[in-house]
Amino acid sequence: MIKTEKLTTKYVNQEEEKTVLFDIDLEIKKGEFVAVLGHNGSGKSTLAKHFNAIMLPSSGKVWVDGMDTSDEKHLYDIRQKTGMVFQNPDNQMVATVVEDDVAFAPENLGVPREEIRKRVDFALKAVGMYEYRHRSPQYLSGGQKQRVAIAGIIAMEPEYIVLDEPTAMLDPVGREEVMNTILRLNKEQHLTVILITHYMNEAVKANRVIVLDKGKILMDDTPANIFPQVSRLKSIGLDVPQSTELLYELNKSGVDISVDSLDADSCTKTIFDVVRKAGVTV
Amino acid sequence: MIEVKNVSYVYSAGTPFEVKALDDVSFTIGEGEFIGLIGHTGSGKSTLVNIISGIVKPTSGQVLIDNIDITNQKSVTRALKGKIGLVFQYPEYQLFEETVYKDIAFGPKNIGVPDSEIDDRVKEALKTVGLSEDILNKSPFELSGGQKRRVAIAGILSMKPKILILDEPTAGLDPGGRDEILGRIKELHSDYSITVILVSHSMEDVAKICEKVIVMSQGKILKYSYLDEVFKDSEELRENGLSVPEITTIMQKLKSLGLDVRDDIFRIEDAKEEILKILKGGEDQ
Ligand SMILES: Nc1ncnc2c1ncn2[C@@H]1O[C@H](COP(=O)(O)OP(=O)(O)OP(=O)(O)O)[C@@H](O)[C@H]1O
Ligand SMILES: Nc1ncnc2c1ncn2[C@@H]1O[C@H](COP(=O)(O)OP(=O)(O)OP(=O)(O)O)[C@@H](O)[C@H]1O
Ligand SMILES: [Mg+2]
Ligand SMILES: [Mg+2]
Repeated sequence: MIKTEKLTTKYVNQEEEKTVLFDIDLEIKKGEFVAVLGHNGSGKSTLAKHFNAIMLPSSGKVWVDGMDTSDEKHLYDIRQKTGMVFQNPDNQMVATVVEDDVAFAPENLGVPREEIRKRVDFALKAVGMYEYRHRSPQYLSGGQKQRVAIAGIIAMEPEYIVLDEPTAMLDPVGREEVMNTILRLNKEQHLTVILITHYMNEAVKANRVIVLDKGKILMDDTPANIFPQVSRLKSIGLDVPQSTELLYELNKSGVDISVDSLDADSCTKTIFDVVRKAGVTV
Repeated sequence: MIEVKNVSYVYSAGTPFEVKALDDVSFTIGEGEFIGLIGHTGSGKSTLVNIISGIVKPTSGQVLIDNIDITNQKSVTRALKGKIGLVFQYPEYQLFEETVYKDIAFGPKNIGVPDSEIDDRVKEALKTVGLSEDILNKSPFELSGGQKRRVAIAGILSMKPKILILDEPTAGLDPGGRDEILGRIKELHSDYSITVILVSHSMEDVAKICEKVIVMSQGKILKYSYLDEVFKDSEELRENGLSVPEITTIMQKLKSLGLDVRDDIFRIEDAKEEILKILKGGEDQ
């Protein structure tokens, strides 16, 4: 479990200090799939960096499986448990060959050679970059770099995986593939996933959605309870899936239709049922 | 007008890792058009817009901007100065000054905008991207990902280019900021008839604001047409790593269930109207 208690964080610079997280109390249990949403600058990346002790609280506490992140003797164990894909994949390419980059974390963790080979191949195939394994990461397109960064974390096999906007540069099919990989790791290997995203149709796949607003937790609930709150979400700079928005708009225009669909399939069914009930012949 | 003629580009030529990123690409974009540029990762979009902006020379072929050949070394800087603005895919490549203010002021200064005008330009651009003035004295490296993206966009808008090219500008923007900034760019497009090329992986964004779309695949142009033509064949798009907007999927599914609805719909307002119309038909029967 990842747990925070009254987590408060300041950035301190020459001229000023600025508090960006205020008294965050949070528990993320093993096996959960949590999506974190919030406007630009709301504190998502800052929060995530506390989960593997890249940042330490200015006050309050963070524990990873009971280990206090501010206690230096736990640092190695925490980093081994929690893998993180940063917002900009460019900053995290360390090697000059794609497969070495993906092997970097497991090598550091002392995983045996043959096992590393297996993991690296599996991870590169999972993100569709196996053919690029001998290339230099520096010479890849934006989306290709992002896939390599995700492969690196898959090969590390951590217990907690924190993904900071991992699909921002991917094409629609790539985004879907990465989401399916994440979902599979979560379901089959009970990997705990914390996904920061601005894509609402990714957030609907989580079991839990946390909405940050100006450094505080504003909502913390299931997608089914959060997304029907269309006007509230819009008022804080967020959005809902197009499916939900269409039903919401129909509802506003006086159609008696419930606004609880989060994807195209369920939205289609809801509309179809209402249209049939209205006596339209098919 | 932008004329791309038989442009090819090869990375790492002559090595085992040679990549043909662009393969004999030709097309024309008229003045004042608003074009979406979509394609799978690695299809060549960034390479293409870097060439159109004159930052990268094609391996072969020609690019003419308003009849001036920008692939011809000597004429390039003078002819292009301030005319074309490119927002890079990674804002980090664009931000290098010590304050946000200096970063946004850099472009206009560089193209010779008088000092007296710079301040207004910076503030106007800042407003367009939805940032407040207290950010101006911060270092760009102390910003969140989305804030950096906004500053990078402001740094190009402040030059007031006639041709504005944005390489995945909405990646990392929150939905509110995305709609606001795209809306402002649309306004600039209609008020000053600037030409816009928007590279994007969001089919929803492209459907919301572009008139025509270029679809790239494996270094070639697969399609160049209006929205309805491009989003008509969802199978073909999928094969090329792309999709149709979610709203279009819903209309296509309704149609395949036997409802008499249009399936060439890409925007929520249009979908709503279409479904209201169908429901009205039910009442009248
Ligand atoms: N500096 C480079 N050296 C070698 N190959 C490169 C380099 N930059 C890009 N490539 C290759 O050229 C091809 C086109 O890349 P480009 O960056 O233009 O794609 P893109 O369509 O912008 O992709 P994305 O959506 O991922 O940003 C890809 O196969 C990529 O691997
Ligand atoms: N290194 C830093 N120094 C000072 N302030 C910072 C630093 N990094 C971030 N901030 C500030 O902290 C706040 C939270 O930033 P954070 O990166 O956590 O936001 P975010 O929710 O991840 O935003 P985005 O959606 O844009 O990625 C912002 O106001 C930002 O300007
Ligand atoms: Mg962030
Ligand atoms: Mg690109």
